[in-house]
Amino acid sequence: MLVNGFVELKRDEVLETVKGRVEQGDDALKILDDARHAMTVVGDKFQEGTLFLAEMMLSAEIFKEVVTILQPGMDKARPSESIGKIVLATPKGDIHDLGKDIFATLLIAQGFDVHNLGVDVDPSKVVDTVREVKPDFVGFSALITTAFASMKKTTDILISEDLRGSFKLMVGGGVTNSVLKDHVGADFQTIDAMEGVSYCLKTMKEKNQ
Amino acid sequence: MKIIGEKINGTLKLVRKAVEEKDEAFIQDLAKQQADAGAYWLDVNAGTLPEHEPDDLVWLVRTVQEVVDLPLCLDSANVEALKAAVKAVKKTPLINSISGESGRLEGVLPLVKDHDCEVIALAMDGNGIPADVESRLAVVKSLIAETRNAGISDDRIYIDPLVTALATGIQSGQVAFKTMEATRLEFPDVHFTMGLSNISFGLPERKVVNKTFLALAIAAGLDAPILDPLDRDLMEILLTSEMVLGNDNYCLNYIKAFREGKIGNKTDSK
Repeated sequence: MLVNGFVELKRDEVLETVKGRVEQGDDALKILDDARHAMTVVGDKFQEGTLFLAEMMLSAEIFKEVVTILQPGMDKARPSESIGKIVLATPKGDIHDLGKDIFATLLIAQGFDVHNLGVDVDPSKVVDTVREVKPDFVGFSALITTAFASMKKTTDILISEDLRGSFKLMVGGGVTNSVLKDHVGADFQTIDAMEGVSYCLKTMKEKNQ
Repeated sequence: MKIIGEKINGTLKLVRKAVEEKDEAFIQDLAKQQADAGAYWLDVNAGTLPEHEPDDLVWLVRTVQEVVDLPLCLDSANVEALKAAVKAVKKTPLINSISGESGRLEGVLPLVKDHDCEVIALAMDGNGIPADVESRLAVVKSLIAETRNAGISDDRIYIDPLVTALATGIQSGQVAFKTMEATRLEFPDVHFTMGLSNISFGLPERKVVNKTFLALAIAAGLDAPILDPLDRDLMEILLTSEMVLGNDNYCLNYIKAFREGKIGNKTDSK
């Protein structure tokens, strides 16, 4: 039911269904799980090209509204376990965020806890967030090469502060390549958001084994 | 209407390869084709790592200038690359670009002033691209205050109102148009430039979206589009829009393009 509503972008229908289930006393976490599953289906359809970006943006909006409806119920229940934590940033020197935000949306849909720091992000902000959040992944996104220097700088600080060992470093975006990956010592590089999501899922699976 | 030919851009795979391998013939072919198709400037963007970019951009400038006489649009966010390239150009270049981002203005503006260049000014600052017209206009105002302060006249400024994807914000087109309108009210002498393809990101049949957007943008004041002049569809829309808006006296440019086979059905034109 939720899956069809999401894929066909029937906002009202999805919200009615969710509200109805809440009123019937359905577990909020169970409903959220269904919504996440529906978003995964949407993400797959986006990847295969049958759904377009604008449609995925709308489904993400619907998902957000579902979460808002479920929030009171979830606060009462045990805190929801995310399947992994990631800190995302477009580093200092670049202000492009479209690719990064698509990646963030896909990750949220998969149940990741995403800390999206925005664009032109100072190394110190990344370092502080890593220290506070203790993420499984840190992702740098860039469309132009001016962000490379601060990527390197941020990574060097993370190493010198002894924080680098606790997460996988990912770089992504139009200008990234294997040379940059080696330059900053990243664990993964891609220009494809879904490939990045697959990497995160695979890594968490291995981690939890 | 002055077209900035966009094809020599190192963020495109084949161009990057040509820059890395110093393939002069490939670059010169792109330059000649765009010049023949009606470009006024040729954009040159090396797109390489910051430490190589000054040398690579100078190489591009020299390579292009061997075969065409057009002025160049020096496209880099790297001040050192712009500094090096501006010394290598034969004709006064258009610098792409300044913005309200920290460091960018301080580095680039003296270069524009000292070499009497024209310059593209992006309506954004260190916080990214402002969402609404008022904030973009505020950035434009502060940029023009700086260029005026540096003694650069308004008619040498090309404001890029910035185009974002309709797929992620349905007002993207309107915000760009209204930013131009609001800017022109305050600064009637400035020009307007923009890239077209961001508008259609994530949509099917992007070319249809791009060319429709071009027509509407020209009506809204765009007079220096960044585009591929070899794209027949776009050039048709551009010439026709100019004519319909009354900017092509006696329809001469339109008719000339027809005679040269640049518009209309390719096989029928004579």
